[in-house]
Amino acid sequence: MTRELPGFEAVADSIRALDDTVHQRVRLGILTVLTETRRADFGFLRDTLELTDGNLSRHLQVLEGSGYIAVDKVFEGRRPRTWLRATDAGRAAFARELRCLRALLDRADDQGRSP
Amino acid sequence: MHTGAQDARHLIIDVERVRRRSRARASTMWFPLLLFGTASLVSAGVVVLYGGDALGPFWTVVGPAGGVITAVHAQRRSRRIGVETHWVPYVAVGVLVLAGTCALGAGGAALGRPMLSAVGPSLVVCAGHLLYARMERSRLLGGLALALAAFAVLLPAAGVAAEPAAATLAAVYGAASLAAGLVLVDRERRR
Repeated sequence: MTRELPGFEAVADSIRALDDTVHQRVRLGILTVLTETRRADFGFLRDTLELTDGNLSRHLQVLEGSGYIAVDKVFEGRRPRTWLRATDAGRAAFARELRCLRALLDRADDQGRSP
Repeated sequence: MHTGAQDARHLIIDVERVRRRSRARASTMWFPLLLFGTASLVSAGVVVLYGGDALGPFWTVVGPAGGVITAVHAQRRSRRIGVETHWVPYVAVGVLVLAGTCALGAGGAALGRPMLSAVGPSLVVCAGHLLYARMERSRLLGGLALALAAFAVLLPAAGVAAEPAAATLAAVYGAASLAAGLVLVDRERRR
């Protein structure tokens, strides 16, 4: 029989509140850059996060599918350019994810301190 | 999905690292520091040549012109490197600094308080720098603002007259801003 630690339920609640779409290192990185700026292009994101084109594209598709980012493909002169920005839903999901992660850490620390 | 505290800790560290990197790559703070630092050094020469009264007209022209040049540079650079920052707070602080410096400069003259005209605008500029430092999360800029504010307060306390105080402040502010701008340029080159 396992004995539940104090605060176990609270930690479990924090884990359940995590959003699978955002709770992933690269996608969290993408939202970090896009919430820090007004908008960024594909190249800036790729270089800042040190990703390959293909890897970044896959994660962008997931975020766009969830409505967390907006993609704007334009031609500047003759050059195609892809601008990306976090939507309101994306900003909210990012803020929520950070809150959950911090709550998880705080509660784990509290558990560690309890006798 | 299993998420442990260790996982959460790593993700938060990652977020902070990406934030710093993104902010550093997007920042153009070196440009206004170099531009306004140079203008400030020139203004020290203006005080020496034409007296403290010439500072008002000088900054009335150079201040807004510098702001427009900085905005054009920031826009071109953002297009080149592929990132646009939230520019409204930067413009708002710039306008407040310009209004504050003009008000204190002219107000000091109108009230017959030359020291207010000499030191007040510098303190407003330092307050603006502190706001920019907070926006950019730049310790360098924050430290520069506090050091310059302390210097601005100490000058009259040391018994320096208004006109030499204005010239000294302009020269020290200019030199310190140029130095800070060059440090930021060097950091950018190293990245």
